[in-house]
Amino acid sequence: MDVATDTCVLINLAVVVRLDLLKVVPPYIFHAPTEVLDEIEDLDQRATVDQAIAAGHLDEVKLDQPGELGLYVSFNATLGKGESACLALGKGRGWAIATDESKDPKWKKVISGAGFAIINTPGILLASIRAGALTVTAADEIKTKLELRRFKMKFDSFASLI
Amino acid sequence: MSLDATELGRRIRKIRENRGFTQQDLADLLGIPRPAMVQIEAGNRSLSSVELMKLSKELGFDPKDLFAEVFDEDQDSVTVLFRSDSEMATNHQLNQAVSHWSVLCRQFTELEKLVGADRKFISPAVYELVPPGSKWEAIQQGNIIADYERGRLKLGTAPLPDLPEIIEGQGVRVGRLPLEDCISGLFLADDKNGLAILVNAEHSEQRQLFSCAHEYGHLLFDRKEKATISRRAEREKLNEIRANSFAATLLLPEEGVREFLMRAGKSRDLFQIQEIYDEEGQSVRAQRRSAAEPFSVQFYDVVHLAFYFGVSYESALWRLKSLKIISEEEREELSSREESAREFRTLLWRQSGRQERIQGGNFQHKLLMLALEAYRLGEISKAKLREIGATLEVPSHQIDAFSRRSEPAETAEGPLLPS
Repeated sequence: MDVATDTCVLINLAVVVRLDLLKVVPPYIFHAPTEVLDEIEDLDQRATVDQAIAAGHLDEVKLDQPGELGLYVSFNATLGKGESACLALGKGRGWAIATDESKDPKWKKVISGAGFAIINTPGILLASIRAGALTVTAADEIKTKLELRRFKMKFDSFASLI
Repeated sequence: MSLDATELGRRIRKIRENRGFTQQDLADLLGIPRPAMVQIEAGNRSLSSVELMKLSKELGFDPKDLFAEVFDEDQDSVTVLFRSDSEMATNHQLNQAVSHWSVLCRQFTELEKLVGADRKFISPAVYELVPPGSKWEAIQQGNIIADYERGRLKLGTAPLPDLPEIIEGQGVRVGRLPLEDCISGLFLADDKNGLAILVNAEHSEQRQLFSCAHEYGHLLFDRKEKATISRRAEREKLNEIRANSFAATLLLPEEGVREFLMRAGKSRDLFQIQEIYDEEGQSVRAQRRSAAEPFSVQFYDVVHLAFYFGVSYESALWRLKSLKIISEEEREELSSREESAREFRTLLWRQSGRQERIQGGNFQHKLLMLALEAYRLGEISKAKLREIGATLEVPSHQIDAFSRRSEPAETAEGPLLPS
């Protein structure tokens, strides 16, 4: 399953330097639209993402079909460029969307209302555990690091989800 | 509508041609070879979203128009401007300023609609006058309508220090951007950009105020034209004369000027009359006529007048002449004292501690406020809010700080995986 990855997920995994997990959670194939990459302002995080692309953990995708461009400009009236690119790919190509922005009422409303398949950072970590690419302990360590950056998760330990 | 690559290419070519650009110009903008641009227009090479947005930004068109059911680029005021002004395509600074301004105006219009503050029902009056047949008629029309506008807006005879605010109160966006010296300003008028005035931020504060009034005059008289640029070289055109006359009278109303000079004891042409009535209805009239020489208008009177009404020394001189308060010889003589006038004005300015009349960034602040409100109402996403902030050069960390109160205090994520 192809997944259009939004900025927040890339930043979360870049911060903990585990973008490699995107390659080890089949059946998902992660893609980052150019607009999403352009939204990463922190140079270190951007460098980490570029290295992950070079290593083949995910790839960069461009929107270039007229139908997708029409969707993109229409979404971009009220959403950011990265979000709009992800939605255009979701709607145009039937891809899933990787995103974490649950704090944003508009974004939450759009992605929950249009029947998009969604995966988020905790979901990627859980899928990685299930795929044997990550231990529960390592996942909990990542959880702790992300929570220090105000990204809270609803559960105490990944152990409770297995 | 789903359109194919051929139709998309055709529409891009139409926009390019309307704006007077060559395929090489667009290829240079996108950093691609010219043959690739030829292929895009022919529908044989795809255009990426990044390239599309770059073209939209640089050429000042709404990308949504490209995908509309009916493609009617001719109605766009920026297109009108590009087609009517041969320099638009070659003058990079001008074309950048207009495109940037149009992006902001369109964003403003969209946000107004989203927050329910659509100002399409609030707009300045339209004066559908017979086109002036002579300079005299143009001046008369400008004078009459300026007086009428002062009355309609209940402005009395006082100076208009907050003219941009007054004009914005009429539903007009007022902006300032650096333009070429020979351009004082321009206006745009269509549904997407709204009614918009742009003045040259490189000009003096007094000149900007005059340009603001001048462009407002164009909006009142020439709105049907959708867009015009006011250039120094075209000041002899009748609609430019009319807009100049309007601006001069709006900023320096005859009654206000005469009152000012009266207070300064410089009412040479006016009899000063006082009448006292007694209980039997008889009046006693006292009359004094100002002697010409001791009361003649001096350069410092003109500086003070210009300072009071917020116009330039030269504008004030021309206005005094048009009101026949000074002769052409006096105007020339006073004009030759410009250096003393400038020094005197600097002194006056320093002592008054007065703020600039044209405040920078009002429009930008209003746009930011609208964007924050749209975010608070859940009409735009945080990423869109940041994007708008970036066009206004507000860094994302500041946008985050401004918007924090509109957000839920704490949220937590559970794992989401597609079923």
